[in-house]
Amino acid sequence: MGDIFNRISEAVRYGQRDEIEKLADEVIANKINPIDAIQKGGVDGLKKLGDAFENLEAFLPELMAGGEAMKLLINKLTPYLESDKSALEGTVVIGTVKGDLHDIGKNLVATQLAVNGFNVIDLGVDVSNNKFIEEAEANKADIIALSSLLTTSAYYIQEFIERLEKDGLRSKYKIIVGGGPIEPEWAREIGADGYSRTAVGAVKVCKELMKQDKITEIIIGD
Amino acid sequence: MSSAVRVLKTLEKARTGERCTVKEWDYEIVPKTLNEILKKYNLEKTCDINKPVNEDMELADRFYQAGLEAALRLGFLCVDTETIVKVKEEELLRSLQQVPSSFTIGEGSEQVTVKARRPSDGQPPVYFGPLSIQMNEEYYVPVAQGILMSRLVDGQEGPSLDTVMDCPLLANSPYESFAGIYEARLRKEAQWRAGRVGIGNAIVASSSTEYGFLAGFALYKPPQIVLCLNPASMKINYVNLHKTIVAHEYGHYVRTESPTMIGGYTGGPEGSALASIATDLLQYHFHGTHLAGSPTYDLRYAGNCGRHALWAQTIASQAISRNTNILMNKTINQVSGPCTEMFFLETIAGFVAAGVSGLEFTISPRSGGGRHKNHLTPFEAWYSSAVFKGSAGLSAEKANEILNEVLPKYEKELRNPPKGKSFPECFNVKTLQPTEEYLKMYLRMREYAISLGIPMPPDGVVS
Repeated sequence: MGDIFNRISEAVRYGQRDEIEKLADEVIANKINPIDAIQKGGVDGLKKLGDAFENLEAFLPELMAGGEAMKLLINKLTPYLESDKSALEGTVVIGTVKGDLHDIGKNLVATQLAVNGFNVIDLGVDVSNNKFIEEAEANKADIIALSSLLTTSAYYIQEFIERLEKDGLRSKYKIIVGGGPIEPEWAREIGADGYSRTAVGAVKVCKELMKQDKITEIIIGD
Repeated sequence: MSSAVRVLKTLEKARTGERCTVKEWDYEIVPKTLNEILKKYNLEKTCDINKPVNEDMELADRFYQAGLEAALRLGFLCVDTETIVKVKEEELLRSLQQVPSSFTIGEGSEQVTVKARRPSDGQPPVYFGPLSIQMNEEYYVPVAQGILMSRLVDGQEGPSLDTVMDCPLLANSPYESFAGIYEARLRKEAQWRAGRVGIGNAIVASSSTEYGFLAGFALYKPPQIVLCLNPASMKINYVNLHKTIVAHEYGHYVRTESPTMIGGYTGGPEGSALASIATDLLQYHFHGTHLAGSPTYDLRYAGNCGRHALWAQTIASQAISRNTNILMNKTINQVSGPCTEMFFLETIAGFVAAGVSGLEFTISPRSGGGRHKNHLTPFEAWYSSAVFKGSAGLSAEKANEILNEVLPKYEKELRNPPKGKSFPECFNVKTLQPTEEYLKMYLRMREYAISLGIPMPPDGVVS
């Protein structure tokens, strides 16, 4: 049993989608608990990938490939879970706000979220507030993640939250914000539900947001 | 003077070249090509963090050759058309021979000339300040005035505005057009108050898109330096090309900037250095750039005063400065804030490394990583410029001696740096008198830099 978990872990660590296809079939054929395959195999591979990123042995492209491999594993095994609940953590609509073309920080957060089992809808950069709302509605998002590296774009985040309130949509979504000029005090002031300085911290915050029905105090990540 | 005709060819290639999605470019083509080239030139694992300033000039030259190959094999991706813009070897080599090796900016006694430098060059580099750190509207003039009071600061770029006449400065909106004009008026006020009428400018700081620049540039007498910021290394976009065309045709200098990220698409320090060199080599050909800039940051802490980023940035600068006359602008990105000892230590490491590696020009400081509003005071600019200019003529070996003394004092804090204090907490914003605490710290850290062997020129105000 340990052998297949090790092989899944390796396949996720190195982003081998073809290998994951075969291993997922093997899990199903041998009636191995899918949760164990995801946790002891996939999550372990992601941890190794995260460590490699910290040590400059893996980079954003490898993180992306690992995230896609993990998503494939989850998608293949979800129908075989005992409960009806998807193994995905939740759906996040993410983008860099209007007027801002910076993508690398947002991509890192999107990748880390995907790597950690979230269904991520990445809207790219220079995303209007209307687009965020349309896509969140269309994809039944749980969380909307807004990034800004420019102080002049950060204002759109405040306007976005005000707009959700006005449209009666605020309670439908959890809002997490981040990016260079965003400070936790400001995130609290504008009524965001979560803030994180780093991509790894954003994953923790999103997981915490998913656990709570109603957010009474902003969750601040690393 | 220059013309934008060169840019028309870039635009044509951006319409008719090979199609490629941004995702393919970022996740497949760039990493795969860079890795192949690193292997071919035997450059993998060459980063030596014990010598953050590379001392092996043969290695720097090998990086140059590899960077040239990367430039030719990759070209740039135009993200608006999702098309690859390429150049033939003979065209690129011809362009590199035509690169301007100097330019002059400013009027009268404020004139400064940016000239090509080599590693350990005794000619001091040129320093503009500050970067676009956001300030409350009422602090713009006093902080800019304070910074310009030292003649170590050769020209002005920032700070940037938070609001325009109390209205939110929204990106990509007409507020930016207003900001471009408003900032020009505030600059003139600050420069007059500082006795620096005629000083050169890098324009426009308060607007990220082309709107602020297009609105404000007519209020500046050419030539000034125009920032044309690309999305990242190996990429160009239409926003940048709008600015480039107007800057050329109205007699300004074009400064392109395209950062590489260690940990991002370009990989580790070696891949990022390679991408940085390739980007700098291509910028004149495609933009007619006067000042090429592909700084390297470390994605893990969004700065570049740690060992890997220092190494990558210095070897890329050495490669370009030893083999071309390209004038480079690379940002030194401190992550700690004003009135912290760490800020001064990061500055020593970053600016000594840059100054001895052939860098001609920079704009600084980025106190607190530019993240915290109002976290900018005159002392950070004065200190950065003194270290940058004082490092002229030092050897790479001496630089490493200095860096290995200061890096252990702060490198563990890079991911959780101190925010420091804001302008009104450090200075009386009316009289521009520093607090006793910050003045003492500043003077002590100047003495510390001198004790390390950096001949710090006086700021002319308090030292």
